[in-house]
Amino acid sequence: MSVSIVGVGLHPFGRFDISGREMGLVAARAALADAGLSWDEVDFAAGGSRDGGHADSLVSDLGLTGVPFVSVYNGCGTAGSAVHTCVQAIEAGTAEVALAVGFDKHARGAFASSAAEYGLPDWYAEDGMMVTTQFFALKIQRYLHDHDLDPLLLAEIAAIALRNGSITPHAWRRRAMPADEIAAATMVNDPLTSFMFCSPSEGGAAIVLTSTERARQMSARSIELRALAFRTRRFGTFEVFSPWLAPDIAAGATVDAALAAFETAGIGPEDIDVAQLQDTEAGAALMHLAECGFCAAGDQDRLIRSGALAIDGTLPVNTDGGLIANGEPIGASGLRQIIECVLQLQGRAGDRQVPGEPRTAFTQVYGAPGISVCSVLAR
Amino acid sequence: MSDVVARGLIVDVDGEERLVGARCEQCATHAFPVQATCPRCGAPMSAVALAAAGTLWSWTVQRLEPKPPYRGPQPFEPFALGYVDLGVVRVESRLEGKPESAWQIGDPVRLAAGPANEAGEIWSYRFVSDADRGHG
Repeated sequence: MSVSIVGVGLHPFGRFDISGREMGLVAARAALADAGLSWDEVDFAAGGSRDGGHADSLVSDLGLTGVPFVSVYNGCGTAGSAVHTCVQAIEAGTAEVALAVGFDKHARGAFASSAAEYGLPDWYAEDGMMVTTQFFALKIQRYLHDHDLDPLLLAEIAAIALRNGSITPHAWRRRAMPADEIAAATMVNDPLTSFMFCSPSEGGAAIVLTSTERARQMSARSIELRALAFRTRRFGTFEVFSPWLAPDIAAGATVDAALAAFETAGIGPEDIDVAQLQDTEAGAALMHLAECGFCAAGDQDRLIRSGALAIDGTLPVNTDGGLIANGEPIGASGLRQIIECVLQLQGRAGDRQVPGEPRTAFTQVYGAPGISVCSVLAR
Repeated sequence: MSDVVARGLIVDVDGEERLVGARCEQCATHAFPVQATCPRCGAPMSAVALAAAGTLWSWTVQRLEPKPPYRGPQPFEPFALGYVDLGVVRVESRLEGKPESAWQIGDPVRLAAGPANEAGEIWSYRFVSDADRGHG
C-alpha cells in the first residue's frame, strides 16, 4: 500500500458532559493540527457513529467546503470501515488528503439490540437469548474447554489492560487491579466477571491520511499504513446473535483479515513490535491473540505468563488499556487503536511508551455480526 | 402449546415434541429456526424435525435481567442457557432441570415445551437435563 498517517487526534474516552459530535470535532481538529493542515486542504472524509449523531454533519462545524464525506456503520468495526473508505479513495487517486473520524456516546449498560434489525424472530430477544455478553461467555467457555486453558488467564489478561490503562491519560478506567480481584468480582455471565468486560462509553478519534509520497514531503515522522484488510464472516463461524451454529466451526473473519493484512505488508506476526487487539472482554483478547497469528490456539498461557504482553515484553498488547480500560465508543474505538500504534511508533506514548523504539505495529477491530478490520503500520 | 406451534417452532412427531429446523435441498446444511434460503449456498430450504435429545456444547448463566424486550418470568431469577448439539445443527436454548451453575459441557439434555406467557400461550422452548440417559 502507499498510504501514510500524518496526523492523529483524540478526545479522551469515558463519560463527559458534551455531545458525541463535539467529541468528534475535538478529535478532528486535533488530528488536523497534528498534521499541520487546515480543513480546507482535506479533499475526502469518512466517519461513523452509532449513537452520537451523523458523522457527515461535522461539516457544519468544520466548514462547508463541499468535501465528499461518507458516513459509515459496521457495528464495533465502524472506525475500521471509515479508515478503509479513506484508504480506498487515496489508493484510487480520487483523494489526496483524507480525514477518518469516529465518535460516540452510548447509554450505560450492555447494548440493547433489536431482533428484527438482525433478521431474527422476536421470541429470541423476548426469551432472554439476545444479549451480547452471553455470546462472549458461551464462546470462551467452549474455547477454554477445547484448548484446555486455565480460566484464570481471563483475569490475568484483563489485569494487563487495566494496568496499562492506569498510566494512560485518555483512558476511562485508571485503576490497576490484581488478577485475583478481577477473578473474584461479580460474575456477569460465567466464566466472565464484571471487570473482564469493556463497557459502552464515549469518546472521539480521528486521523489524517495521505499518499506515502506526499507524507514523506510533509513530515519526518509520518507512519506508513502498510496494510489494511477488511473481511466479513464466512459460513460456519461462531458469531453473536446466533440461534444456531453449524456442527463444524469455521475460522472467524479476524483470521482472514489478519492473514490478508500480513500478506499485503510482507511481514508476519513475529515481526510486530506492538499490537492493539479487540478486547471487548477478556475472552476475546485471549482468542484474538491466536486468531491474529501471535500464538497457536491454546498457547496463550505461555504468552501471558511469560510477561510477553506487558509494555516491556516482547509483544506489548493494548498498551493504552484497550477496550477494557477505555470502554467502547463504537464509532471511535478502532481509530483509538490505530492512534495508539502511531504514538508508539513515533515515541510519543509517554509513561506507557514501549522501550526499544518499536518499528512495526498491528491493530485488529472486530464487530457484530462477524466483521474484522486489521492493519499493519510501520515507520 | 398453540403458540409455539403457530410460530412453527415445535412439531409433534409420534407424540414427541421436536424443534422444527430447515434443511437445504441442495447442500444439506441445517439451520434453526426455519429460513427460506440456505445461508451457505442460497438454495431453497425445507422444514425438518430436529432430534429431540442432544448434548450440551457450551453454556453460561444469565445473572442480570436482560433489557427489554425481554419478557421472561418475574421476578427475575438467573438462568442457564447454552448450545445443544443435535448432530446436524447446534441450537441455542435456555436450560432447566439443574442448579444454574451446575451444568457441564457434554451433559445430556432433552427438548421440553417452554413456559407460558401471560396469555397462557407457550411461547418458547427449553432443553432440560436428561440425566437418565447419562454421558456419552
